[in-house]
Amino acid sequence: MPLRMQSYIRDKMLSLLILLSIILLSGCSSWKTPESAIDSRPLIFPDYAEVSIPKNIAPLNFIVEGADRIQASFSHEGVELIRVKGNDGIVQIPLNKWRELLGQAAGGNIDVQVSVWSKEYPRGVAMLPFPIYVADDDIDEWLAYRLIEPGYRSWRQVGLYQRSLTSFEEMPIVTNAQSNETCLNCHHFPSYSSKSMMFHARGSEGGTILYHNGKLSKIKFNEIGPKKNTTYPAWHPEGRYIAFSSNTTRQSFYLHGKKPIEVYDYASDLLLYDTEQGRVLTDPRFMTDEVLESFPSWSPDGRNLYYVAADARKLPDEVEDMHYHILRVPFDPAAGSFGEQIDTVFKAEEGSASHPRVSADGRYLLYTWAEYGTFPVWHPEADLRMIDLQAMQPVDISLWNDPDETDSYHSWSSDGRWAVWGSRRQDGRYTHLYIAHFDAEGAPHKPFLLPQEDPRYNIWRLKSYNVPEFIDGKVELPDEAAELFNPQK
Amino acid sequence: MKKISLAPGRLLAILSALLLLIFWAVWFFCYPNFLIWLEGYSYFSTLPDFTSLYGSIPEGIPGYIGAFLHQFYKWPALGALIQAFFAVWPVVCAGVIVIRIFEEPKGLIWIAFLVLPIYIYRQFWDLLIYFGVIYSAVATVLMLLVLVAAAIWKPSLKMPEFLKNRWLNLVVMLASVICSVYFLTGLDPRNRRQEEITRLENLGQNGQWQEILSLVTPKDAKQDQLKSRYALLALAETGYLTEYAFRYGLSGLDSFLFYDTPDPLCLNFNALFYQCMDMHNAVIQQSYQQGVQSVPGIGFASLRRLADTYIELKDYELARKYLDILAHSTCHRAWVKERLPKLESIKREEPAYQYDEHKALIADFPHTISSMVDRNVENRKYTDLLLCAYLANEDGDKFLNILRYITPYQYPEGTPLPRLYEEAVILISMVNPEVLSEFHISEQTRARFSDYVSMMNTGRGTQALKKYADTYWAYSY
Repeated sequence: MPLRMQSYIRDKMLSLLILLSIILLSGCSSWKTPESAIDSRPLIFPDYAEVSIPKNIAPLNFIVEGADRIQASFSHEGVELIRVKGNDGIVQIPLNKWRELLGQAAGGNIDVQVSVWSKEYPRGVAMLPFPIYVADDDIDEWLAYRLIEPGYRSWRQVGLYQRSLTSFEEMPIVTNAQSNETCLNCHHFPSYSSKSMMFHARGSEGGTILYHNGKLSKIKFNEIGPKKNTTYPAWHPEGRYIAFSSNTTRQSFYLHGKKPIEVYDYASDLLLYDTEQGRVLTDPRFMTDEVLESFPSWSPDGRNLYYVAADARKLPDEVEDMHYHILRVPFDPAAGSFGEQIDTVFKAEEGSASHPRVSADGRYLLYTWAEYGTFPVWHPEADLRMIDLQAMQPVDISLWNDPDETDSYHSWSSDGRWAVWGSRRQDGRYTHLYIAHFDAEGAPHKPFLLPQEDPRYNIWRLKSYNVPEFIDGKVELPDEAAELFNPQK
Repeated sequence: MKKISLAPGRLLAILSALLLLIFWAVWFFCYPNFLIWLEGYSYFSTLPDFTSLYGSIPEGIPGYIGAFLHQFYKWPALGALIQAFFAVWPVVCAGVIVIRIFEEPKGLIWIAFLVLPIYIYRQFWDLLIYFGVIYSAVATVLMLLVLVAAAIWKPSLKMPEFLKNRWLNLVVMLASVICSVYFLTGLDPRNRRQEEITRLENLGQNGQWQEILSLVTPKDAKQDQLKSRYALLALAETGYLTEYAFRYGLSGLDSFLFYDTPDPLCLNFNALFYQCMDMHNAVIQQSYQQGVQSVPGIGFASLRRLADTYIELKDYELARKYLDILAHSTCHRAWVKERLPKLESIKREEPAYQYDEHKALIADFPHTISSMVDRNVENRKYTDLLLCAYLANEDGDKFLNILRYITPYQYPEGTPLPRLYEEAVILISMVNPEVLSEFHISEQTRARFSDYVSMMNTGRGTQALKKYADTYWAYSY
């Protein structure tokens, strides 16, 4: 081929390449105007329309299924502050811009206007904007939870994790990566403190792992005091005592129907562990076979212990007759003893209560209601309910619940303005975390799904979130913690 | 004849190719079902949780590479090639080292063959290819180090002449290959059994029940619980349970399923059994249990079964979740695509969870299967399983109760009973003669029973038991 011809072709190819690059770049980066508009809001996942969010939460990234190109503009008081474009229908908001936006919109709302380009709308369609309310309240920066397969008797990887709520950072606190035989559960912190932590490790080398005042220890409760195992914990706000229920738990599996599992206690009592003296205290009233006590929980001032209790029944045949009430007993932290009078806070005339948790100001009690039993996470009818302890009246929080799927196992933020809980509303099997605002006037607001960097991560994760607990910082558990329960050490 | 002289490198290449062919053939022809099973037992995904998991567990990067490669084992030819590669590659590395460091290396290639049996000895049960990846990686690193060192120092080690002997070369190489093939195929009887069971697993999954019955002999069934259960399920599926149940090892209430076992082969069988019985909750339960036996906490076999079960249940969200997750592996695009129309079709339908109002628990076998008999009283498959279980347990009262319950639906107006039921009824009639008025017993069975009793009463018990080996009479003797 003549040299001139080669040079001509090379020049032409180069020009074509530059032109293509310009077209591609402009195609990718330019903000397009959709050719039509429709009179409806986009169907976004997760559903963030009209939710109330803390002013320090991570970006609420979302997806519009079926969309190819997507554009979202975020405005406050009519002023557009962020524009985000995405492919595959995904909107991922830059963290810095999002923080600026929340800073400006705190106490007000953000209007999100979405346009999509799809097979149905190849030239683009603009949709009606939806608001996101930004509360003037921060949320605790970290959240601890357990990730586990939502399975049956066995497990493989179980871990306690912590997640920054102001970003997408998630890291393990402790996992069973070194020993799959170990199940980790029931983590707890005193007064939201990330400096102290406890959790149970089950297995041949298991025990209750306690990290307190910089010291790591393993307690084998079945070898001390009344030699009973420990289950659900409640660490006293002042740090010295931990109340436990000691449950003999079994599970049965349903052959048919949507509810696959029934979990129930053959027996359960309450114990009190003194971390200073290393001894287990008991009260005969909470150690009987006739009454099953469970889910202890302290009032924020540490002067009362809330728990649930039900009359013992023949199980599993009479499991549907197990109705747990919420009771309250005074506690004297100086003496380490419970008072005489036991009050009934919720009488389970119909249904059954579990997980009583009192808000930071001591006024509201949040609990899970189910038709019967003590393990509502497998009950699709389970919902969160609330009692105003001042007026002793129920508070309507139906906005937080899904009518068809489980809502359970909740906890309050340290300021009592936010609640987090596990809900199965997404698919009925995997528990995801939802967070909701409870404002200073005592009004609940629409909850939102824990944001993820890629919103599809909520579908792809093969784990359930368990026992969410707000904490005031990142837990730095010594590496030796995992050695304490590793049978292969 | 002109003598052909090969360069050492070329000789190594030819020998390696030959080795690859040999071990490919061994794997492909001896263990095709096991290779497929390895794919189902494994799991790989491009999703972030999967990657971070392998960053935290002891299996680490070798486990991750193994998980990636196992995806291709669904095609046994490819799986066999990968298995053969892991066997041969260390030989290649060792061969290159020999060529680089020795003077006259051609006569010393046999040294490279010594690494072959060391790996093969452990290869079969290296279920994650963990050892294979490490062995190959170490071999590769050593080879590279030697190549670099050889480029700098140009070593030329001398070995005694007798070690370069052609016959020694041939003998060591042949011994190494024969030994390795023996390690794979003859040393450990568990290898053969694993292939046999995984073959039954694949046949069962494809509904090839007659093939299962042609593979499992009554002797096998009496010696191996898994084979017995596959055979009994095949009998139930083909309607021959009431003819041959005792021939294939039926011996009690627990003969049809496995209880409290972590063995993934047993859990897979349970899931298949429940799938055949349309007990979706139990299928899901067993599939989860099976999944957690895999290192990542889930395996492809479980995931595929979960996806299909949820599609069948019209549970769009969960079916979609598992299909989405499977789509993030390397080899499931076509499998997922094939199901997308079904998924789309259930999008707006209500999930079809059966019998929501009943609160039957998965418990012991009779309790579980009774629940299905209650709801499907005309279905012979359920009643045969229940009645045969009671016969195996020699529980005549419960057998009669159920038989009375189903007779109007399944054997009305003198419809002949299956052979085992007739044998049971006639035997029970020895102590409870009225039962003969309740059920129709054929003349043939009456005659056979008279013959059996007469043989037993005339000192010919051994012959009677032999002649009537498959009967309930012989079983209950």
